Order: sequence, then C-alpha cells, then structure tokens
Amino acid sequence: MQQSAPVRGSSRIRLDVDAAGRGDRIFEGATKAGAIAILALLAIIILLLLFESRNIFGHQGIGQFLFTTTWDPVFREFGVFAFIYGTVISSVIGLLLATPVAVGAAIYIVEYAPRWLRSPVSFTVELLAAIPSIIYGLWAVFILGPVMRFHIEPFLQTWFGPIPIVGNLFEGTPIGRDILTAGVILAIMILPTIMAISREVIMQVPDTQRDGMHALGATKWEMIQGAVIPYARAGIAGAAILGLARALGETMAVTMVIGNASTSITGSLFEPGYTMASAIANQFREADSQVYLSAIIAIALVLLVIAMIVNILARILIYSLVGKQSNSSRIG
Amino acid sequence: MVSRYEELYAAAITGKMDRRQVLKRAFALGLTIPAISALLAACEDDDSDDSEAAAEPDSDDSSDDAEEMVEEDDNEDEEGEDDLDDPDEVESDLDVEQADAFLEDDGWEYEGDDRIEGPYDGESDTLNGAGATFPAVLYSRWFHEYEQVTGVRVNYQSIGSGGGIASISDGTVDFGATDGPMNDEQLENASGGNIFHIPVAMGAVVPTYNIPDLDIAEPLRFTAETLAGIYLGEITEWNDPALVEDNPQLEDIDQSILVVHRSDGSGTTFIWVDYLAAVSEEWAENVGVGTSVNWPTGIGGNGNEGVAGEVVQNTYSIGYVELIYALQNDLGVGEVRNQAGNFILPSTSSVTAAAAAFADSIDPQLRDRIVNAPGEDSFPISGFTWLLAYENMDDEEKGIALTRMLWWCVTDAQRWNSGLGYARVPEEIVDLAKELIQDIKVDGEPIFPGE
Amino acid sequence: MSQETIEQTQTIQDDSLAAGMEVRNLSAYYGDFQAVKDITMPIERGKVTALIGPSGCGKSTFIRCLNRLHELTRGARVSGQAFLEDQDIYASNVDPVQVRRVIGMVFQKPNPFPMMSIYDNVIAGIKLNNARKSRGELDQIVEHSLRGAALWDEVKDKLDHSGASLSGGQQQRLCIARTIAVEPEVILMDEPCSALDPIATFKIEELIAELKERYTIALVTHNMQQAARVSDFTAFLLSGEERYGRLVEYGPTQQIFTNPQDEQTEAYITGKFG
Repeated sequence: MQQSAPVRGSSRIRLDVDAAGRGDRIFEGATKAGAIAILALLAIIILLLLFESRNIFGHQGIGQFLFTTTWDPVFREFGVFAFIYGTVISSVIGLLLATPVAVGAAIYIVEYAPRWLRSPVSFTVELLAAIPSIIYGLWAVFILGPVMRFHIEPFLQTWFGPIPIVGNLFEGTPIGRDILTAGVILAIMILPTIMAISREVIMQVPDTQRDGMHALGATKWEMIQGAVIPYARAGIAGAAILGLARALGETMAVTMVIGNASTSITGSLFEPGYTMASAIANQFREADSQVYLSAIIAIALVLLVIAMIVNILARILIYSLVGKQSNSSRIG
Repeated sequence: MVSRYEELYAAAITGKMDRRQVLKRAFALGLTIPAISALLAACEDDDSDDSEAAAEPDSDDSSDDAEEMVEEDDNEDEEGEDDLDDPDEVESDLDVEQADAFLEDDGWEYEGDDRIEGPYDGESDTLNGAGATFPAVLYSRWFHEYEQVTGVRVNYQSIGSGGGIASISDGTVDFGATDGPMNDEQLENASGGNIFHIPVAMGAVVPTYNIPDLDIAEPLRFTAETLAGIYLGEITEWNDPALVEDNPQLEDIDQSILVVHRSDGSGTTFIWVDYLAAVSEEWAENVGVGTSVNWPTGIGGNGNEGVAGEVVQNTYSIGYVELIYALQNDLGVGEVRNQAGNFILPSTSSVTAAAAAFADSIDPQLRDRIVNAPGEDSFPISGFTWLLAYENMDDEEKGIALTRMLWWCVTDAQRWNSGLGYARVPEEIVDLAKELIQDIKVDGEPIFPGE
Repeated sequence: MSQETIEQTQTIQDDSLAAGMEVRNLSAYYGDFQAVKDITMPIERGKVTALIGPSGCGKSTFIRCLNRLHELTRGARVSGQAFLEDQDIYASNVDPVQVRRVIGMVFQKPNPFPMMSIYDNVIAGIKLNNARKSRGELDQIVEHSLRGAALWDEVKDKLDHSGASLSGGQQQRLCIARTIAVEPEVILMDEPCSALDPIATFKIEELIAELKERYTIALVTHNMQQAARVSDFTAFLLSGEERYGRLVEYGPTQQIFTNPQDEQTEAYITGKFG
C-alpha cells in the first residue's frame, strides 16, 4: 500500500477508509439492525402464532376451521367463517361509508375552506383520531345504537326492504346491535385517518395541475375532478387502505355494538355478527382447554393473514394507480 | 379507576375522609356498590357524624377529575329510570341510604374456637394469588383485614378465572381463584400435581328482564322449562303459553323476546348454562356447559354491565347477571322455581341454602356444582367461587401461611360476605373445606398448624 | 384523411380572426401587497407580444391577470380593466370560467395531467365544454391539435401512453396542443421554455411563430434573445424602489431592442442589470 503512494511527505490529506467511514458504517449498521429487528419481530409473531395454534389443526382440518360457521367451545368444534364474515363485511361497510365523506371533507378543507377555518377543522378531525376506541364504543352503545334501531334501520327497511336482492340486506328485526351498526361506528372511527391522509395528499397536488385545468376553462368542481382527484387518487386509495386496516383490527368499539353472536349468516346487515378481534378479546381470557385456546390463537393467525392480504392488495392497487404516473418524476 | 379506588381506600382506612366524603367521591368515580361497600366498611367506625353535613369542598375536584366516569354513570342512570343528573346534589342522600341499607350486616360472627389469630412463627409474610374478578372486591377487603390480623400480606390480582387457573397450573402464584371448577384436562395439566378447590364464597346468577308494561314489584316467575326454552330459541314470544301459565300478566305482552347473553367467557355464564344443562336434556346435548358456549340465539354483551346494558336498552329483552350486580343496579329480577317447586327470589340467604342442601351429597373434593339444588328455600342457579391450592407444596413457609389464610377465609372472613353481597358458605361445607385444608402437605406431612 | 384534415385546418384558419386585447390601468394585489401597478397596454391581435423584465417585476402576475387566473390565488385581487375585443373580462357580469375558455395559457413548467393519456390530455378542455362529440370528431381534434403543436409525428403511435411519459419539451408541446384544442382567441405563455433545453426551446419558438398566424399570443420571457426572435411587440416591466411592477416601455420589438426610449429599458436590454 505504501509503495504505491506517491512520495509526498506526510499524509496531511487522509483518504484512507477509516477517516470518515467509521461513523458511516456504524450508522448503517444501526439502521440495518433496526430493519432486521422489525422483520424478525414479524417472523417471531407469525412463528409464535403458528406454534401456539398447532393444536387446533391437529384437532380438526384447516378447511373445517376456515370454512364452517359453528364455533362451539363445549363440543370443541371451531369454525371461524362467521367471524371472518363479520370482520370483512363490517369493515367494508365502514370503508364504503367513510371514504366519500372523508375525501369530501379533505377536498373541502384544501380547496374551499377559508384559510381561517382550515386549522380548526383539521385539528378537530385529528383529535377525533386520538379518541380511544372505548369511548367510541360507549357512544355507540348509548347514542348510535338507539338511533340505528329506532330511526335509521326502520327507515332502510321501509324504503329498501321491498326491493328484491337489496332488500335481503335489511331483513330482520332492527335491534341496533348488528353488522350495520358496527360498520357505521367503524366508519366514524376510520374517518379521521382517511381524511387526514387524503388532506395531506390533496395538498401535495401541485398548483400547476390546478392552473392547467383552470386555464382550459374548468369550473372549480371540474378542476377538482379532472386534476386534483386523479393526481391524488393513489394517495387517497392508500388512505382508505389504512382505514380498512384499522377497521379490520378494531376490537373494543365493535365488540360493544356488533351483538357478538354468530348463529347464522343470513346476508342481512341487521343480524348480530361477530368479528375475529372481538372473538379473541371476548374468549381468550377464559379459554379452558388447550384446543380452545389454540383455536383462539388460530383466529389471530387468520386475522394477521387477512390483514397482510389486504396490505398486499393495497400495494398492488396503489402500484397500478401510480404505475402510469411513475414517469412523471422525469418532469423534475 | 383501580388506582383511584386504591387511593380512596387508603383515605378511608387512614381516616383522612369520613364516610360521607368517601361516599360522595366514590359515587362521583362511578364505583360499583360492592366497591363502595368495601370502602365504607374500611372507614373508621364513627357513625356519629353520618348525618351531619360534611365538608363540602371535596366534592368539586372529585367531580372534576372523574368527568368521564360521571358521564358513563349518567347514561346508566337514565336507563335505570333513576334520573340522576348530578351526583353531588340531593340525590346523593338517596345513594347514602341505599348504600347503607345495602351494607346492613346480618350480625353473623364465626363462633368456632379454631380461629386464626395473630402471626405465626415460620410462616411466609407474603402470599401471591390471582384469578376470578367476580369475588375481587371481597378478596381485597379480606386480605386487607388479614394483614391486620396476622401481618401476612396477600397480593391478589383479578385477572379472570381462566388466568387464575393458568397461573396456579404453571406455579406462578401461591394460590389461584376461579368461579368455575377446573376440568379434568386442566387438573391433569397442572404442573404441581393435584389441586384442591376451597369454596370461600357463593354467588347466584339471576334472570333479569325489561318489560316496561309490567310492575317491577311483581317479579316474573321462571321455571327450568321456560328459561331453557327461551335460551334455546324455542320460546320466542313473551306471551308464550308456557310463560303465561306462571305469569298471567304476560298474557297481553305480544312481543318477541330479545335474548341477551355474555359475549366474554365467564363464570357467570358457566353457572347459568350449568343450570340450563341440569334441567334441560336438550340443552345438555346440544349446547352443553362451559365458560362460553355456542349460543343458539341472542346477542352478546361484554361483562355483567354489558348484559345489563343491553337489557336496559332493549325493551322486551331478557338476560342473566350476577346477583350482586342485579341488586346494586336495581334491575328487574325474576323468581326461579327450584326443585322443590317453590318460586324463589334470589338473595344471599337463598343461595347459602342451596349449598347447604347439597352438604350431604357433595363430593368431598368440593368441586361439585350446586345448580338445581334440592331444598325448600334454595335458589337453583347458584355457584361457589373457589380458591385453588396445591395438595402438595414444597415451601414450608408458604405452606403454613397459605393454609392459615385459607382457614381464615372459610371461618372468620365469612362475616364480610353478605355485607358485600356474597353469600356465605354454609357450615356443613366449611367443615369439608377444613378437611381439605388440613390435607395440604409439605414433604408428605400436613402443614396446617392448627388441630 | 390527411387531405380532409388539412382542408379543415385551412377552414378553421380562415375563420379564426383572433381577437386582440387592451389592458387599461390594471393593478394586481396579493393581500395588501401590490404586485403590479396601473398597467395600460394592448395585446395586438394575431401578433406575439413579449413581456420582459427582471425577476420579480410582476410579469408573471400580470399575465395571469389576463385570463383571470390571478384571482384564484388566496387573497389575490385585481383592479382595472382588460378588454377582449370590446368586452371587459373584469366586468361584473363576466364568468371567469368563460374567459379562460377563450384565453388559454401555457405555463412555465410543463403540466400535462399525468393520470391521462396523451389523447385525453389533448381533449381535456373539450370535455369540459360539455359538447358531445363523436369519437371521430375527437380523433380529428386530437390530430389537428397535435399537428398544430408540432407533436403529432412523435406521438401518433402512442396516443394511449401517459402524458407524463414524454420528454420535457414534448410535454410542453402537449400542453400547447391541449390549449389550442379548445380553439382560444388568445394564448398566454408564461416562460414556456424556461424548463427546457435549447433544442426543445428552439422547437417551441418555431411553433410560436406558426401559432401567431391563428392566435393572439402574449409571452412572458426572461430571455431577451427569445423576445427579440419571436415577438412583434415588447413590453418592459420593472419593479423599482416601490417594489411593485410597472410598465416602463411598450413598443414594436425592433424599436425596443434597437432604440429604446427609456434609459432603464436600455440598461436592461444591454445587460446592465437584471
């Protein structure tokens, strides 16, 4: 090494690796460790769930576990399909109800609201996101439930009940403890998340896009429709997925209004339902046999897998939306 | 809330607050009546200033930092037809009376000559236990008293019966506590060998309903057949002939029944379905007995308060809750016909009677359930709550401390039971429990220091 | 097909007697700050009028006033008049949306709509006019506009590609195509070449020369050579001590560059400041 160096006296200028590289390498190592730790954590969680749920799959087939609806701890028959159904349907209702409202509110805040109104509205909405779910649950039990039972559900039944197929959704006696009520409370709970992210995304839409549409003679609404929403839609989709993810895992508030019964899947939104998270929360503590306990842990595994599937689908969705846009970075 | 409760408890014990102040604050915090009872019992016994106007200033800050709880309280009160708006106002006097009435002790004292008194040389000065939440209020009262008597500190964590069983099974606690007996599988899985069930208190599960048309003073009468029918989903209308037969007032109630059950696994459910299974073959075959079952019908509420909330909110509904919970919340409670054919209104004494009726036939391991008890006055949906201890222990100091504590629990400690809304274990069963305690061994030798 | 198109192009060209503009005492504000003060000048029909001046002289603000885009900025407002032919676009009964349909604009940074195809970018403005047009008519408009923007040959085989997939210069010409597709009277260009390389710039300049056959053009540029090359008239704006921009001198481009009347103009075009 020395021989190749030109003879220039002392090494006033240090170019060797150690001079600046050490801190860099330490930093890199630290960040790498963090990244690995996260992956390891996920792996450990999955392995643990797999291990702890092994008994159930020895006890009965995975098909029976996933696709039957009888959950009977006494006779040791464990079918989670009713839980999966309740989870998915209530979350999707929540998503369908929340997204238009949240995006509308976000558009209002960014595009229409006078400047002085922006911060208070945004602040309030973010505050909503910080409310613990138990409080939403209490509110749902005492306010939302009765409103659903005495006003909204009879209304829906009167107007949509007679329509074939659609009417099936609104069959049964409204009791305000059902999948629809759970969906509504989920919508309210995920609304702030979707709105806050949508607002950020919409604010990121460059003004040049707005100008471009305006300059073609677009009205404000046409401008929003033609320039803002398409530009922001991948981000909005991401926001909705985050909301969906929260809805899938939400436990407390849903448990308080969904009825916690899985006797049958009739397709009606007025039937009491049961979600995976609720089932775990309700039954874990008093599970009194190995098989029962492992069945409950297997629910957690299924929930995790569904959450992962949703996330992957979300990535694919966002990627396909952004794909067309990806070259736009070339504009600079 | 727990920490506030503990603070308040400390204040009550040390006499920093008088009864009235404690009461006000406790109501502002939305504590349950058993908790309040425990607090009041902890107050120094100076009933003299009970009627006096006590110092006001405390009420302000108490309502302040308990805002959330008060709100919750209000809601419950609305349903309870109680119209309590401000816990600080006139109504609080009512609460005082209620609570005092509730506290009324029946003056029972343990009279045996084998009482636990004072510390004992060579016993461990701490014991750790965990388990059932239902008797937690009673236990915290007990263990506070026990420390005064013997100097042994008993830590109890109310983590649920399942948790209690798991904790004793893997040996992380000195004793467990449960509302439902351990099943054979659980007993086999216990790491330290055989486990004794020591019954220390009793509870009952009662049907509660909400039919606005009816006079609450005239309770509905249920039979084994009607309760099983309703919970099987076979009796679906309140004016079903089977119900009307015992309750003519239901004749005109042309409404369908909304069935409410517990959504969480619980000892309350266990006793309830244990009863249904005992009286209905169909139930035993199709649904069975467990801390949570595959309900044929109805909606689930979380905890006693969840079930009570659903019942109170939904007219023409029926649910089941712990006796003390029904008592303290003024819920409409039904009478249930026992084996002898009498309709019995649930009360702590009718529960004790149920257990006494079993004394002759009960399995000496005391794991038996006592639903559908014989006897004229027995309330048929009753159950024990147990403390769990290993038959063979390996730590002598712990062994002495634990057996003495268990002994105390089934003897002297019983005097607090009815004041807090739990039924006493009848003497006949206590005698059997004592035999079990004397059977607890360290190194193969019985360890209990008494005779 | 192409024969037909050319004929149609011819017709449109003949019909389109692009309107000129006349700005009178126009001032623009951002809140309390006055950005442009009291500008009076014509935008001659069928000609290219260049707006030059140092950075911050308000020339971009001014040009955004000419199609009422300025007022969309929060807190911004305009006073004065701007006539399109005989109509004041700031008159109270005028809908700014209609103004922008006849006075198009091309921006400093190419801003095609990235979520739309090239085809859809071109007809974006047509779609806004609610006119139900057949696929065939739309195809014609797209081809005609892209030819008009000298982009047709480069993109005719990938009309379904994203507008964002083009190079910067192509994107800017796409924006021009988009603008001319709605057949405006006036095209405002706000430094359209500042983000482009010299070759792309040259193409745009060539295009401007063609476009003035059919449209009235106002062009903001910081590049004096460009102004000299493509414009017929030049206005020199300057913000002095007062900080608001004002019109220093307006005249035929040749005169401004060879024989400026104002010494500030002379100083600027000879590179003494700015």
